[in-house]
Amino acid sequence: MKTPIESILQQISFDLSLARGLDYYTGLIYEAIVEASAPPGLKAAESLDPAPPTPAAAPKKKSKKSGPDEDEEIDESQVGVGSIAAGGRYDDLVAMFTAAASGDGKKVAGLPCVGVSIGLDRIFALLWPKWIERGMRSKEVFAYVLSAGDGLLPERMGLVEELRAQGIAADFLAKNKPKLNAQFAAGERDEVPYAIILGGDELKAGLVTVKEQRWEFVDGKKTKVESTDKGTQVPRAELVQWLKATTTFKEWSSGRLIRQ
Amino acid sequence: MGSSASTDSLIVRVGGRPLLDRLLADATLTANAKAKQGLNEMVILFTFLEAYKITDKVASFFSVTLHENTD
Repeated sequence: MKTPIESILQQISFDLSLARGLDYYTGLIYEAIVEASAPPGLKAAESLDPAPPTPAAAPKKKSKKSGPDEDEEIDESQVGVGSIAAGGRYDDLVAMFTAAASGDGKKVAGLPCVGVSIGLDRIFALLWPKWIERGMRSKEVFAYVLSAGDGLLPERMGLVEELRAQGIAADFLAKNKPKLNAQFAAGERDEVPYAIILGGDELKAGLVTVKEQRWEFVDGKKTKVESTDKGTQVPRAELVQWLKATTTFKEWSSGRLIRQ
Repeated sequence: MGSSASTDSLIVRVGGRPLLDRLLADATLTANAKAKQGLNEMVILFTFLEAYKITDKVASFFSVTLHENTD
C-alpha cells in the first residue's frame, strides 16, 4: 500500500528547464500537464517515470535516449497543447500594486503569495473530442426556424423570439431571403433536432411544418440520418406544447444527441 | 428645403414608430435621397424590434437629436 505522499510523488517531476513567461515569480513555479497535453519529448525522456531518480540512474537514462528529439533544449515543434494549469510564488507582486496605490515614499508591507491559474480553454480542448465520441450534442439549439417561402424574416424572428421566451433554444439564418438549402445546411451544422419550416400560405392557415432530424455515427463521424419524411404539420399556436412533449426535448438537458 | 423639414425643426424630435411614419410622410424630407435611405433603414430596424418585441425598450431612443462625437 502506498502512502498518499508516495502516490502523489509519481505525479511530480522536478524540471530545471521549466520557465514561465512572467518575471514576477520569486520562487517555486509549477505547471500541471496531463498525458494528452504533454509535449511528446517528455514521455520519451521518462520525466514521469515513477522510479526515483538517483545519480546512478541518470547516465543510464541518458544512454537510453535514441530519438532525434531527445535534446535537452526545447524544440518548439515538440511542445503539446501545453500546461492545463500553472502558477508559482510571487512575493513582491501585490506590494508593487499597493505601493503604486498608496503614493510615493510610503513603505508598504510585502504580501507573500502563491497562486495557480487553470487553463479552461485547454481543458475543454482536451475534453471536447471525448464528449463528441460519446454521442453528445455540440450546441443547445433545439429548433431551427426556416422559411420555405419568400424570406419571411420578421416571421422567423418572431417565432424564434417566442420559442426562446418559452425556454426552447432556437435559431434562424439571419439573412433576408436565404435559400431553403442554405437554411437546412445551417441547421445541420448546429445539429438541431427539429427544423421548423414556415410558408406564406401555411402561416395564413395558422400552420407550421416540423421536421425531425436525427444523427448517427458512421465510421465514427456524426452523420445526419437521411429521411424522406416530409414533416408534420402543427398548428402554430400549439407548436411550443408539441415540441415540449417530445422525448428529445425531455432528454435535451442530458446533452445527448445520439442514443447508443 | 421648406420649413417643415428644416434642420432646426428636425433635431429636436424624439419618438418611436409614429415619429418615423410622420417623417416618411414628409415629402420634402423624402425628396432627399440620403434622408429617404436613412428613414427606410429605420423602418427595417423597427420591423426587427417589433419581431423581437423590444420596441418599448428602444423606441424612445429613436432620436433625431442623437449624435455621436466620433466622425
